[in-house]
Amino acid sequence: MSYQLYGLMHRGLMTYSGKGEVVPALAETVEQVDSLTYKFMLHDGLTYHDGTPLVADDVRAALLWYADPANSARSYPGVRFIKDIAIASDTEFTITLNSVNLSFLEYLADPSAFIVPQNQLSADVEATNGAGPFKLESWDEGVGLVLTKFDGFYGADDVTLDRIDVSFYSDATARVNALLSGDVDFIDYVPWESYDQLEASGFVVHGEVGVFQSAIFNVETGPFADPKLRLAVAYALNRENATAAAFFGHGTSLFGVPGSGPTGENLWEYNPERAKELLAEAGYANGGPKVHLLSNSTYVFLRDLALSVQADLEAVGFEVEFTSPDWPTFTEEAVAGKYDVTVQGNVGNVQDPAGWLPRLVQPRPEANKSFGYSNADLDAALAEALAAEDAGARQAALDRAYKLIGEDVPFATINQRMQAYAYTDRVSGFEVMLGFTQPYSVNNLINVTITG
Amino acid sequence: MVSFLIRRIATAIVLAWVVLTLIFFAIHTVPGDPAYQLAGGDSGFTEEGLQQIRESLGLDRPLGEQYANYLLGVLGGDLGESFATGQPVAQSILRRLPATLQLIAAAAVLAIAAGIPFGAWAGRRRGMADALMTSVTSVALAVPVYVVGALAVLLFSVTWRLLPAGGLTPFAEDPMGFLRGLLLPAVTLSLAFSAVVARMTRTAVIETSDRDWVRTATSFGLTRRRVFNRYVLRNSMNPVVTVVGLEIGSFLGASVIIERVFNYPGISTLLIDGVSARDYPVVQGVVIVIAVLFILINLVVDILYGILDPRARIR
Repeated sequence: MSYQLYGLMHRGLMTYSGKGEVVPALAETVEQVDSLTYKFMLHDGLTYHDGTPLVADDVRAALLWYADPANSARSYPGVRFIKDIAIASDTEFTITLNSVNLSFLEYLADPSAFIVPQNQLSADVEATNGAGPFKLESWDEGVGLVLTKFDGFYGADDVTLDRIDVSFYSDATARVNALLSGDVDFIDYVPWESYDQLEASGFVVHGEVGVFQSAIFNVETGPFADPKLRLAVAYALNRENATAAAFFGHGTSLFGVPGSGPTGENLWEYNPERAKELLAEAGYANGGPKVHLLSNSTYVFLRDLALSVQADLEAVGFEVEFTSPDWPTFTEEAVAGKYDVTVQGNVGNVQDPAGWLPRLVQPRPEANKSFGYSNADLDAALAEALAAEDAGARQAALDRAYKLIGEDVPFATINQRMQAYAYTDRVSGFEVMLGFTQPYSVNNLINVTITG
Repeated sequence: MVSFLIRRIATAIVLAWVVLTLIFFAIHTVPGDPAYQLAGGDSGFTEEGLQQIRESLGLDRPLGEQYANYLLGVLGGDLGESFATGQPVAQSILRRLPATLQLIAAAAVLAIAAGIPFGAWAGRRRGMADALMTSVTSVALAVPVYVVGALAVLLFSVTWRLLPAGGLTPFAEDPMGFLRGLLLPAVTLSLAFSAVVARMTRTAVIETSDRDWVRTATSFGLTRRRVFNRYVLRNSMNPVVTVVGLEIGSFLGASVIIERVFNYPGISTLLIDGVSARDYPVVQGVVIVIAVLFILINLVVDILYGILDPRARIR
């Protein structure tokens, strides 16, 4: 089950409000006692969908389970900072961190950091008994599911829908047709080529930019072990063309780290001449090296982006070999470093760059970060920013990190794509979250009304 | 007849085992780590976590051992559990299979109901009727099934909003909704098939009509209509039955596209999702079921063929 649906069935201690701000959820109040200590008070009388009481001990069990690296939890990068959870009563407890993490509460708002009964804390169990606004009525695996309002939810008075019928449409065209034909009222993941058609047909198309795409490299072996060639790529990319090719113009160009402010957002520019100079400096004055550009055939927009990157690289002198296997093959090859350059999408699971950047620049077995990349100075700068209690010191550390990224190019960002939802005019009250929280916007269905 | 049946069933069992073995080794050889797909590839996971997933799925064991375990399971009626959901694969297939069988049955009925009369009419009348049938069936055969499906959705669902664009309501829940959901996919799937049936019927009718015994029957004073309906048509059915059997089997392949276009909840969708997630037990289970269905359909055709033409039992 996807984490978008988790937001309807489950709740953690924190959640996101309509526009994406972090707010208390199962926790009625949160008090930051000092930079390392957070005191939580749960709502009175919390229960799971099956009526079992939800108590502080469940919270401790769930958070410690997520903090175990063997469980591969999405919230692991944040909850791993937990040193201790001291329980005072069934509704009161205190969490102590082992080092400062300004994004800690935001990690607790991740839809996958939900609290469930302890018998559901297993990789082999699909957690369906939650404490969120909707309970699972029926589930036809791969086809759809029915959710009904959970009257025991702490915020049940604000939940406007009594029932949500979810149908899975893996094919984008079928999804759009389902809306156009009146089979459904609301769709997510609207394909970019359909925005205009849907709007012209009287549907509301509502989106925000959030997920970003980058060129990432094999820095262990091959030409891109040389940072000069990575920098050449950062200058060679025509972001405007790439956004037009992959997203029909529905996106914004990126020349640095998204959401990082002026010091981090303008690290590079589109300057093919500079790219050629860098190639010459790297010893390729008479034609760039031959590189393997790996993409995939499953996600068409990533393939189209990669084709745009291929054209840009060839324009400055690289010789590019392009391959695009299916997604599972692509991920296996990417994790094994069987490429020179590829194009991937990423989204931070917190807004703070000091919180999400480490995942992209530190060694991990992931397909969406540069293979073999590691930079001790960059790691130190990000760790310093994450732990800094003083805003000035924090920004200084971040600026140092951005400068290193600009020079060493662990990734060359291309664009941030618009991700939209579309619905009939009978639907009102739906909000799209901003920035990296955009993918969680389905949470906001709890405040939607449907007329007629 | 009994020895004929035993022979056919024994061949079917061997074929099913060959398919099982081929698909097992093929899917395990294809690149794509199921553990990575299961972890989501998003964030949070570590090499330690991936290894734990591999161990929990049994993927850390030698391939031969995995095969032996799987084969033993299948012999005991256990198709394993889905990597992605942990649900028994047999249960998932049983939930989806009825929709696919309903689609195939509806398409076959439509194709036979349209194809045999159309072909018989063209074969009997010849001339303009024959030319018309040839033209219409050429178009039906030439247009790819996904184009027909897309056009059908655009016209009947998006533009006129007469029928749903996708999905299928269970019959028990809403019989009318079920029929409405089944209609477009079934008609789309049946179109090319009805053209094949019409052409085969037409050719068989022409060949049979030219036989000496037809002239003899007519000279005995039987009406042309009676000779045609009672003798010519029946004796033209052997090749048609063979084609129907083969084509119904091929429906299982075509339904992959149909289920995609119409978001139809059959086993082909399950198969595609399984391949995309490298969910080995699901892929193996669905392929085995499709193979067994194909074999069974052909077995039924062979039996029917034997009934229609006793000489076939001897061969």
